[in-house]
Amino acid sequence: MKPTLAADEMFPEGGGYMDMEESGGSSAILMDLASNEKHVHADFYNDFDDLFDDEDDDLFSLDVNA
Amino acid sequence: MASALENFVNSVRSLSSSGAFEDLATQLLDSTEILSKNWNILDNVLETLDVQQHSLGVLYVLLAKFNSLQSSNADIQVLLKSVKDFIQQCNTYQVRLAAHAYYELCHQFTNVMVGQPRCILGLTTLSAAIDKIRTSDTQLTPIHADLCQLSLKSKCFRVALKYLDVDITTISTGAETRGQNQTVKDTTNNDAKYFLLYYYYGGMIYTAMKNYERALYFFEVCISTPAMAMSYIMLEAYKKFILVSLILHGKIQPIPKYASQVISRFMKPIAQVYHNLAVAYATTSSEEVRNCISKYSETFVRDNNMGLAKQVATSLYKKNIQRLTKTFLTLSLTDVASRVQLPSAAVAEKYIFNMIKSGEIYATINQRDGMVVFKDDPEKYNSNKMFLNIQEDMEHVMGLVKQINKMEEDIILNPIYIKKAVGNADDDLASQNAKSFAGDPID
Repeated sequence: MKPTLAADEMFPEGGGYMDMEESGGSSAILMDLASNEKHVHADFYNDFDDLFDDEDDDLFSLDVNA
Repeated sequence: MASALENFVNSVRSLSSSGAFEDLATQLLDSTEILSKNWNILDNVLETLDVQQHSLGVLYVLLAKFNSLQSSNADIQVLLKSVKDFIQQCNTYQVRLAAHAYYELCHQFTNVMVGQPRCILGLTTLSAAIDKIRTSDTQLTPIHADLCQLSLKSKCFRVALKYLDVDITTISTGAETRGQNQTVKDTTNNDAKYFLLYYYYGGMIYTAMKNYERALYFFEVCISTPAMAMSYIMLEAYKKFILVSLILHGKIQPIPKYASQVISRFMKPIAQVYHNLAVAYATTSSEEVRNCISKYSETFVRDNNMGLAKQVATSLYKKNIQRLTKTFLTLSLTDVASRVQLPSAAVAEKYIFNMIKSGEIYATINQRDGMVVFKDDPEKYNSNKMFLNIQEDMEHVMGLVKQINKMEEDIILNPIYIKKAVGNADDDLASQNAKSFAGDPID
């Protein structure tokens, strides 16, 4: 018997969380087929300066070229 | 060609004057090509139209001017000014009938504006564009992403935060008015693209503002959007999701169960460097984290995430100091420095001072003896201010419950949902009946 359709069917088991390692499964092959076709949005605009380089927080000297 | 353009002007004028805006909107769907081919005389066309009365016609002409920008060598500043004036003066009812063209005009405006030295001037135009087209304060439009993009470029977040702080309940897409003259593929990708961009750029703005909780939520929405192919927007959001998770929680937060498998199957291997940083963070050794950041500095710099990676390193020092407060009541600054691997007592003092100031720990520093005394949280939850805070939170939650109930009601009353639900019930009955009569020799 099919499970009763619920309004919140998008969130089975009460909207829990999954361990990423557990993902995969029977629909994985279909995903592969669709995903291997293309990668999308490669041209989106992401040319901003590093907005998160906060010198005040950088109290220690981090030699990034080390 | 000229006659085709005359037809365009005549249609716009006659259908507008008779109030047949729906018919005009449908007719204009096929006008882009004609207008773009006649880019050299579009200014003459504009002179014959009134922005308020013929908003639909002007919208398509402006769009064609952007489309032919490369070949026409038009004055960019004049064009940008035309868009600004159009958005201020256009008729809301008319442009809502061609929302896809309106959104496209804003995208084109943003594409040009983002390369201008004074791109900050575009913020008010985009803000006005959103206010004009959206049907409620909680509606998301594709222009929201443009506004966030310009905000990030100009490093001015005040205007965008006004929109970002509002939780979204409905989404307006260009597909609603675009019609059938574009392929399904184009339609879907663009609407999804601007949805993802809004949450990615929004997350970046909140990260820059150090509102990490809200930033993490925005990145989570971006990476948990249903997807069948890998989006580079989601990939970049995933990298920042990891970094902000580490800053906020000290570990990578679980991805919601409803997220697409694309994340785990494709993005996790590509973002391996970021996972390595999380592994180093889990050791609680600041030296390990610093070594990891140095080792993969090229990747972090290329991704424009070096500043955030440094903040991850800083957050580990802070978390290690917070751990000390659970074990010790009093400790010398030199001891603090050595236990959390800071270079000197002076640096440790600066860290502790900042943490006291931001309320991350409760302590007093005795500079004469070089000692720090850790204290308990002084909040007794019995003040008027705390009562008001709790009341405000409760009101917020009750509003949310009301919103969810309304959305559930909308779904339950949706004919497509009812058809599916009833269909499933019928299927169940049919399969049960089939089983009970399966072995009946008479039938």
